[in-house]
Amino acid sequence: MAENAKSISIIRTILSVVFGLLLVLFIFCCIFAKAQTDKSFRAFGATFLVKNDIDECNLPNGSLVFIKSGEAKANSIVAYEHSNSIRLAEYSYVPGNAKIIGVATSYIVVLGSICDFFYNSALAFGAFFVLLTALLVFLLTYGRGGSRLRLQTRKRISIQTLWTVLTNSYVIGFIKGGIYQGKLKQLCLPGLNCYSCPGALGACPIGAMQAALTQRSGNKPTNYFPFYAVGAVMLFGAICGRLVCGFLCPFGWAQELLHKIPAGKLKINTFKGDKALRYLKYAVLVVFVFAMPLFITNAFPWFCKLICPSGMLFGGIPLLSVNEGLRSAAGGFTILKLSILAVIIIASIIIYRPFCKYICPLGAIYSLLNKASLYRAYVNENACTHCKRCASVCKMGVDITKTPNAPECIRCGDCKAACPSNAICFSFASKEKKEKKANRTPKIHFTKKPIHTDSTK
Amino acid sequence: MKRRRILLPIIVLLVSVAFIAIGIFRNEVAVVLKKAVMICLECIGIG
Ligand code: SF4
Ligand code: SF4
Ligand code: SF4
Repeated sequence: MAENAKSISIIRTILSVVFGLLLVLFIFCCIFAKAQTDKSFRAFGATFLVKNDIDECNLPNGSLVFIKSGEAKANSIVAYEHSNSIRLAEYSYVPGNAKIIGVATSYIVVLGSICDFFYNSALAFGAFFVLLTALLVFLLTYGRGGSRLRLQTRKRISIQTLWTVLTNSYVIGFIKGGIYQGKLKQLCLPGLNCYSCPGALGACPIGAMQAALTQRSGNKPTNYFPFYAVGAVMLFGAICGRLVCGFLCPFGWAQELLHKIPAGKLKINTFKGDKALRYLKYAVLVVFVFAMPLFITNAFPWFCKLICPSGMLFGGIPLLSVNEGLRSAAGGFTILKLSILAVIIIASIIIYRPFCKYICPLGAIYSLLNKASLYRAYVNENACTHCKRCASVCKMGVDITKTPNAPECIRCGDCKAACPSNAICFSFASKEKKEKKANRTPKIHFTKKPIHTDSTK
Repeated sequence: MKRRRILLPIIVLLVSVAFIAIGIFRNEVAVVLKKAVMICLECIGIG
């Protein structure tokens, strides 16, 4: 046991060092890419410039300069310490053309070449970003003990993080203040993932629905029902229902992380009117996503325009902070959407996923499909002792023993992990098979005693 | 009951595939692509 712990600690140390080095390289690549975009950039006390002629630069002593030739690639970047006495690179160039002939051996040049490679390949840059996140997630989860519930939460947050990063891995977009414009964008993603997020590789289904409904010929709508986007959402829903909310939605993930911020007694599980307020999301779906874009003559995606905090968080903030042109166009709507986002952020710290519970139109569609999905929850009534442990850990306010596939259940699996009798399971398989499986002894052992004691029986 | 449990998802699945096919036929995919490759000013709180 002790040996096992020692080897875990060694692996973690090695991976931490690797992660640290890769992180530094990643930051360096981002700065370099920023320099390529802006032509001039200051960071860490050094000036990063992209110029055609080094003599144009007129640099103070000690400046760090990358020179990029228009022709050659990998070895075309040279680091140059602008001082007569120290030169990191031996180079010669044709003035006005900056054609580097000598290849320097300095580590800076090697770094510059790597950075240049990533700048020129969005795919490689994205893969690097995903790898870095995967490593971080692994470091945060691997070899750490805890109760079954904690392990389940960690596992789910890892999947959410990786999914969010994977589907938003167009890193260059964040640096340049633009968005990905490739063919993948015609595919709808399962979660509320804004297509105006600089990193987004796919389309937001709610945005896609409104885009179809706002098509006009003259003043008349040309499209009365968004078949493609609704079909895509129904497909995800028919397969796994609201599991998408639990695992594959960036905005759900963001609210989940915000709820981890400690707020002591301010945190509330439920309140008067909680149940009634849950119906609001269906109204938002009908009014803002379908009716307004279709019937109001000014064809706008009204949900995006007036409400969506996901668009502001993942699209608005990164784009406005990098892109000066867009920033200068900000106005009343920016303030409105920033205010809504601020309210949702504060509410998320206090209440678990307030936007998912009360407002999200996509969550509303998935709620309706929860009962009609292939992947579903089963409760083994013979094994269940009605200790109510499952209902007490459910942050969505569902009692799974009463309604196993309730519209509000996001299939997070917390109840399953908390059940001391192993009476809950989620699966595509038939009930009978699953009931047998559910009665097995748990694979993971409790480090804390299960709450299910004689007094709770 | 068990049959209904399987039947309903299968129906929803078939309807969803049919919807996607209709959407493709009606050129909705191009509409989505066109919208998604441009920065949507409404999304980012400008328009
Ligand atoms: S603003 Fe919201 S609803 Fe609109 S496309 Fe972006 S994420 Fe989707
Ligand atoms: S309810 Fe909406 S925002 Fe919440 S996780 Fe589901 S799709 Fe995402
Ligand atoms: S019922 Fe279980 S799976 Fe569903 S939301 Fe509650 S804890 Fe998560």
